[in-house]
Amino acid sequence: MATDKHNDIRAFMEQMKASGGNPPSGKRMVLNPQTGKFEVRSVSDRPGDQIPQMDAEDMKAFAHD
Amino acid sequence: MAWDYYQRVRLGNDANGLRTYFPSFSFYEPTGDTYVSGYWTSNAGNGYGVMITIPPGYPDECPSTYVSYPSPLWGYMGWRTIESYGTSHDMHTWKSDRPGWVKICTYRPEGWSVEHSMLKIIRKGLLWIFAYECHLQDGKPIKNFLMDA
Repeated sequence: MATDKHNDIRAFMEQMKASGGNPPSGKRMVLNPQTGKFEVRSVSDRPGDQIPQMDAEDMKAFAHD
Repeated sequence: MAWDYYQRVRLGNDANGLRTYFPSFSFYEPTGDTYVSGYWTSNAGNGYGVMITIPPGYPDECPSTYVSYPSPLWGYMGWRTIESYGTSHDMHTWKSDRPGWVKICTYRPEGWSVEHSMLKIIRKGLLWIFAYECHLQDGKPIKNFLMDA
């Protein structure tokens, strides 16, 4: 079941950060171009043909003090 | 400044990608100081302006990404602006060269490659905004929600 609720996305990102870049088991995060919103989906959900999946590299930024 | 043929092809491909994946983002000033600007409504329903300046050496040179609206962009509880952090690992920001706008870190220049598309920069910018809204909830630094190098 897909969700675009802020706290669900936040939990996904925190878990992915904590695991060193691995998404929580059975879940993936996408940016839905139809709605413009981030979504957390089950890996078994039909992906659609134009839904880019977020990965650890997307979540990287590299500024240093 | 005029773009050469190689750059024009690349910018055209980027513009095509925006039309498909980010229709609220567009290129402006295509023959001069070119930039990408757009508006994103977050999952929480808040509106943000994002601007990406295209450097003369693009795509061999890394673009700069800013949150242009709201300005200033306030941090947790309105205690300080995000811009005031300057170059900050905790907040994934660079010291801004555009007063009032937050310059966010999408790539370190040495980590930039021509293989990274404008779509990727926008996606990373929107993820930074999402992480910023997490910071607003409880004051935790933005780095808590994004990956380090």
